[in-house]
Amino acid sequence: MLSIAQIIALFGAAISVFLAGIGSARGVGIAGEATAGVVSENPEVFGRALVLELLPGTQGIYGFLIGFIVLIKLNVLGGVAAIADITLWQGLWIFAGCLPIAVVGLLSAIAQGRVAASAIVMLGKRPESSGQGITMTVMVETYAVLALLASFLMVWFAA
Amino acid sequence: MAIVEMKRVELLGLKRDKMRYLKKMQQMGCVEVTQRPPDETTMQDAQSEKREEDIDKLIARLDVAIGKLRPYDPVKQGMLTPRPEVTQDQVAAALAARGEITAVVERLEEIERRRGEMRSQDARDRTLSEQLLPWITMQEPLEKLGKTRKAAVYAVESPRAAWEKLEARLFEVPSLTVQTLTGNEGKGTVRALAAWHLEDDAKAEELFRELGISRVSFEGYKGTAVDALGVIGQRMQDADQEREALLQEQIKMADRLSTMRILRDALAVERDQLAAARKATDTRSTFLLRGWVPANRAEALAEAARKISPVCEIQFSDPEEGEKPPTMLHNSKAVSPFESIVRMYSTPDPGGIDPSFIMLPFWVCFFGMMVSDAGYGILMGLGGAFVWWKLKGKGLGQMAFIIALGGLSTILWGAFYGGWFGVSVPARVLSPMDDAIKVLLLCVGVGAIHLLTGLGVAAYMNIKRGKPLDALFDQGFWVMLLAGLGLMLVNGTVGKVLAIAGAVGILLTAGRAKEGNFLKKIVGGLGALYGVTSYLSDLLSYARLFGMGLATGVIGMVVNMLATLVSGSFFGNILAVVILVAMHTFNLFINALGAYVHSCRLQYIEFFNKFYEDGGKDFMPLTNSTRYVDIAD
Repeated sequence: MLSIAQIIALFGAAISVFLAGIGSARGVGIAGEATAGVVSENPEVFGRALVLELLPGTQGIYGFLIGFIVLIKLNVLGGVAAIADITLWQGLWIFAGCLPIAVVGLLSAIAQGRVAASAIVMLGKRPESSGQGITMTVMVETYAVLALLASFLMVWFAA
Repeated sequence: MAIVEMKRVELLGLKRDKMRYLKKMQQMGCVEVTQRPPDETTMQDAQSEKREEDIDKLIARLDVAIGKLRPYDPVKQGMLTPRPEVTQDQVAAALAARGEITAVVERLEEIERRRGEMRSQDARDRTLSEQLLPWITMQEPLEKLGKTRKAAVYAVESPRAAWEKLEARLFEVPSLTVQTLTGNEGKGTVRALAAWHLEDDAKAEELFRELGISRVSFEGYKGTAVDALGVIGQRMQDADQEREALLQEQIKMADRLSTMRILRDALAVERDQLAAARKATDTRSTFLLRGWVPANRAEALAEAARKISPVCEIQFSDPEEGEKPPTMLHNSKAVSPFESIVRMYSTPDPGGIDPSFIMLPFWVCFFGMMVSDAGYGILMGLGGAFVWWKLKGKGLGQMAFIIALGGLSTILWGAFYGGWFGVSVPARVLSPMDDAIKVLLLCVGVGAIHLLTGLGVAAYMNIKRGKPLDALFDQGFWVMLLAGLGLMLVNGTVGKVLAIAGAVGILLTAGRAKEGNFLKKIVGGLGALYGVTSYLSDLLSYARLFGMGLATGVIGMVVNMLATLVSGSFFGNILAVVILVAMHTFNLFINALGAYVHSCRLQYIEFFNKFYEDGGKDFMPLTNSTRYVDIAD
């Protein structure tokens, strides 16, 4: 039987995976639509457009990473009986630690998807501008990386 | 690490030698021909303009034709085959075969057209046979349907319910007889032959209309439905045969592919010559050509020009005040692939600095830190080196070189972090999981070195331009402040003194360019000092080195864990191998892409920000710019 504290911590793992995952799915989706449009007229930019399309995909990976670290922390992978016994406060701590990447992952991936889509359109008009497009798109990612670090530190060093 | 010095070149010569000069320049590949000033009039040469246009059209058609024939190329070319080199003789032969090749292209276009026609004929035939199929039991020849002198005979189609009503009301039209076709029993639609005397024509029509029974027309067919289907089937079969014949013909044409490629490129070379020729200013018998040439090639160019004809005047001059020459980067073989990363950001200003060399170690280091798995590093290093060797370092080979170097750095960092294909080995310096804080500090520390190097480059440029004071004020004080702040972590007093000295220096000097009194200048200095926050965010930005590295390691771990979970049985082991190969490939790909992109970003935003001057235009010399082959001199 799991304690409420363990459930709360597992909820934290769940939201960091699924919210960041939704964000990346939306972001890559937005960029993918733009890619299809541009490539239909200008097939040779596909490779460069694909790089841009993939960029909003990382938030999902970050969310998954934090979720996985929670599982390590709780020793879930050792089986249900081996799940670490934690207090309610520790459970809430872990949950709080999951919030940054969950929320920032969700929103930043969508924002990044939009920038990526615009950059892809720009690529269609000026194929040589892929560097600028990538730079603009990666700017958004900074905040997802910061959220990832915050979440990691909070979860990993949870007492 | 250099931007090549450029000279303006002006060449005045006889018009009859013009193309020979251009040809030589193209061979040397060292002159960018510039457009004549707009206020200069020139003798228009309609003939060469027309020729250029014709060549352009032929090139476009050749490109399409080559694309269509490529799948049947008798000489299979992989992605890793370097471009073949052709001799001048081969080029001449290809140019001589222009008429013949044009005929091949025309025939190919005809084949495409014919295929299109057959496609639409096929679509029509398919609809027709679908229409005819329900009527195959009808013995009546199709051409006999319709009105004769006395009677009308039609094929009709009706919903079953309507048909039953019709059968009940047959008496309303005395001469009407119907005969349902076999093979349609039990289906929703009834098909039948209906016949009536022409006297009853109006009544019959009215009855059919009322019940919603429609006549089917088979105009243009002969014989029974089965006969007509046979004709259509035969036609489709013939079309299949013709298609096969066309395909064989096309495959045969592919033998000419290599000539087509050479011709296409030879034409492109000629077109570029003509386009460059049009930029010159012509009189009846002379021409004046302007352009840019790298200073170190000027002598060779002059000599080559005089060799063509002594009757010419060639002059070199430095760029005028305010005139921007095009930018040409020149680096050693190992560094030049990294020029593409600089160019991806933008071309440096000709008066600025080429950062390729100074950027290289940082770029490679960051890439390795972010992929941070020695196993992946081995794969990238070997793969990159192999592709680079196969392509002899040209085209994609340059990219492969970057990946190979990145892979090497990844091996080192992977060993440092103890990550080998997602397996954490104890033989390591630091573990990203267990020594998270130390690794984070290491990343920020590497970032600080990067930033200080950027400031150093800026200072170097100031000194080189004879402004040592600017170097001290704008970079030296900042280095003092930042280094002092850093030192405070280790040795409080020394660091504090250094930091305060730097800060005071910035406060007093950063506003020196401002108009107005002392106070205004101090306010300007204060504003500059506030810029210390941007250094903070710059430094934090390097935390991504840690985050990205962590991501690779953890995903790799998960992959291994999944594989362990399913392994054990025979099929389980097979599945485990599939999981390992597929997921590690995916992880490698996605992380190498991320590392590449983020490593570039750290250069563009954090590093270039300190010193880079962009806004240059790439040097685009008249050269043999070919697509399929390399032309030897």
